[in-house]
Amino acid sequence: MRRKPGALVPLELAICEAAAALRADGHDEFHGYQIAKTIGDGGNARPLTAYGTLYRALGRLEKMGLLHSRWEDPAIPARENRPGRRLYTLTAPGDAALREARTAEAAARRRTRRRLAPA
Amino acid sequence: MSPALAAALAIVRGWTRVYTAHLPPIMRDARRAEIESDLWELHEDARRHGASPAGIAVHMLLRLVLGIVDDVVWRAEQATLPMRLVQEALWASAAASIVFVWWLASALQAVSPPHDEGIDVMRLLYPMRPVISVPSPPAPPIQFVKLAHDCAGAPPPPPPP
Repeated sequence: MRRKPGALVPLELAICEAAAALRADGHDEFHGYQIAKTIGDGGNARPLTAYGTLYRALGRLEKMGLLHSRWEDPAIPARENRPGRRLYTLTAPGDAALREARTAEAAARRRTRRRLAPA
Repeated sequence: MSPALAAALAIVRGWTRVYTAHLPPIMRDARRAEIESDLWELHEDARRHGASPAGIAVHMLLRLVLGIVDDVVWRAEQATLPMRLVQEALWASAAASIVFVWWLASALQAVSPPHDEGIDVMRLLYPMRPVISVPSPPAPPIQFVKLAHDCAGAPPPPPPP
């Protein structure tokens, strides 16, 4: 998909939306599966985002500076007997990009409504 | 763990190992660990919600298959593939083909015994291994029927074909 510079593709936008939703629920940090689950729940029992698609998009967002990641303290997964999680946070530029994308989306919706409205 | 779930886990892990092979260790280990964590989270979450092992396996495989293109593109973005990797892939394909032919031959051998005449394919494929012929089931005993002839007028029975 060819993208405009600085614009987010739908999956990236969905990830940022999910990250914001998780933060509103009190999860400042989240792992990949949580994001996939949040996106999937929002889409009415849609299958979860594929591994390759999800983690490639997360990597892209991190490279763009919209997300930040860190590996959790190895003592925690060792205590809970599970693999370690890579925890992501939505950064301030990520917040700004999300706001901008929402504004652009709303403007596009208004324009479409105006075009479809009877004269 | 059910065989379907174990197979799905092995396939996802195997594919992740394949497309992250020959990457810098930090990048390789990070991706593998992330997928491993996702597999664990999905399994635990689905189990908590009462999903069947087969359902979890299908979900895992679906997520794998739908993301293969992105995996390959991601791999290509990270580094160009070295010639050695291409050679290794060719050797792996050749080995897999041999194993497949071996398996097919074994399966065919189990189904039908080798023929006595002509080229014995099993002998060609297994030059060192004696061919074990499957014993044929015993033939039913011949039923002798005593034919009573009326020598006075009945014609003799026709000869067997």
